[in-house]
Amino acid sequence: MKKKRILAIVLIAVLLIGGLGLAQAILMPKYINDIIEGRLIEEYYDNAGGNDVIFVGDCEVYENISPIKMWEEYGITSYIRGSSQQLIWQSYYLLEEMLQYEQPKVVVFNVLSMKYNEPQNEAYNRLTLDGMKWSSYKWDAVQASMMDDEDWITYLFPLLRYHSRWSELTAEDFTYLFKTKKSFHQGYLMRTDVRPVTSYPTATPLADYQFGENSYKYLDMIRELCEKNDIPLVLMKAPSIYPVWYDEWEEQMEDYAAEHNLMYINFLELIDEVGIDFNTDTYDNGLHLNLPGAEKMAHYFGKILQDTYDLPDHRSDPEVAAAWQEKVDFYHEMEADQYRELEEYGYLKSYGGRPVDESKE
Amino acid sequence: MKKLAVLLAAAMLMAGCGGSSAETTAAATSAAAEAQTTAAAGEQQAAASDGYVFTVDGTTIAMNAEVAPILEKLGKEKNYFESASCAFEGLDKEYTYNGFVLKTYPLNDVDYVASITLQDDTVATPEGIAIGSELADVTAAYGDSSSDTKCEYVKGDSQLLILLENGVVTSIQYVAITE
Repeated sequence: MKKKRILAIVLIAVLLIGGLGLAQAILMPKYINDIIEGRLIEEYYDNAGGNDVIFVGDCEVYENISPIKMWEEYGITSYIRGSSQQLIWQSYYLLEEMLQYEQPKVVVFNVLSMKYNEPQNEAYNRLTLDGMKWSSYKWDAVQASMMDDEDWITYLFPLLRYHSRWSELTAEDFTYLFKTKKSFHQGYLMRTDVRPVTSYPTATPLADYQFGENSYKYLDMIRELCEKNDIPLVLMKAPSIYPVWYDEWEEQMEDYAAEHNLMYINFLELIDEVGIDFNTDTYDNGLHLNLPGAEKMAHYFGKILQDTYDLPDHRSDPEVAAAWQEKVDFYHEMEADQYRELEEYGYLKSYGGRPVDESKE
Repeated sequence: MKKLAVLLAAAMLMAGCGGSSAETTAAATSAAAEAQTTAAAGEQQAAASDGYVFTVDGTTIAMNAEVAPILEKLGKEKNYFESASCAFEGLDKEYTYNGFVLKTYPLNDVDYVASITLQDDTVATPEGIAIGSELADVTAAYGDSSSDTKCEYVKGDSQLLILLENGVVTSIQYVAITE
């Protein structure tokens, strides 16, 4: 009798946990066709290890540099651990987590997020944090990122956050219940369409141009983490013309880099050297580069990284080359498919593009 | 065992409890969309704003107001800039007119006023403050400020931010409060 009772309790517990787990898996957003950036962070785990260069930061890294091009030209293995509006403390904890998986030879951090001294928005938090595997790094990232009205338990049990999605479920939620879709190229989000820069945003005067204490605290932590692991840290500002990068911010980053003997490259000052043409190399009026632009960045930046840090050319290593050939093939398949869609529809129908006539050109 | 069964039932109910709640209405296909929606809540009241407004050539512009009818009244802008936001749908737009810049934010395919920045002294606030006004004029018009370089005033769903250098106004910004 007692045995039966224990068995029943165990059975109910299994059903309870299994049921909740299944419900959570169904209700979590899959980010397959909309807001695909929500899958960026998670995709790293399938590519962890063996990367000589790690990029961390916001969309200014994952939409502006092509790691595949860097491989093809220099044999550099790299990965972009970027996410939308990735805040600097998130970059820190993501980097800390990545160092459990690999030991890169260089870390590159994009400095735009220095402008945010405090948590900004739950939506963006979710895009970065939900994809992290559970670990002390995720816990710390959640604690550092939460808005006042957020609750840590909803990150531990996302079902508590997403349970109201039940009435909005689509076929996608079931099709991708136990699998996901591969969309990125070592963390790079490819876009081949063109939407040129036709005007520039105005620089709204700020009340205070000083980067905040919290931002500096985490920049120091990133630097110290790299020092502790004997990894050179490079600071970069991507060549995105929007959001505005103020001269006062530039001065602070130059000072910081000089003070700590770090390489800092502001690509906004190297538009011509890199060869970026904002008539052809951006898909959203200068916020992000398209594929030709990202490849120009990879060509230019890859040479600097290889020359400065003596990065090995892995193309002569058969094992690495074979693994990367798969990535290269996927990259060129997607490239070809995007150009096919542009030819057929005039815009990237399946890749988040929008018809040209929908916007004010 | 009974307790466990109750717990199981409660948990399964919870998974679908949003159906008739206001929470479900607010929830979009993802937390992202929901939060975006939440962030911009309040636009419905924009037309009847009790906040600070900017008036130019007989057109009154309130923060969080739907921008289409305003743009129609303002006529052709001098310069236009648009940019997608990272990841989310919609475009942030910027319209430059003589003396001021109007920025918008998107919500459910509709654009709303996000901010207005006065750029020169050809335009002024309805209270008579323009670029070049003095701190005393500002405090007389809007009240005391704890800072003599940054005066912030909040009214309704709007913030008025006035920056000064050496006691002279250098920037005037109306900003929509969306949360």
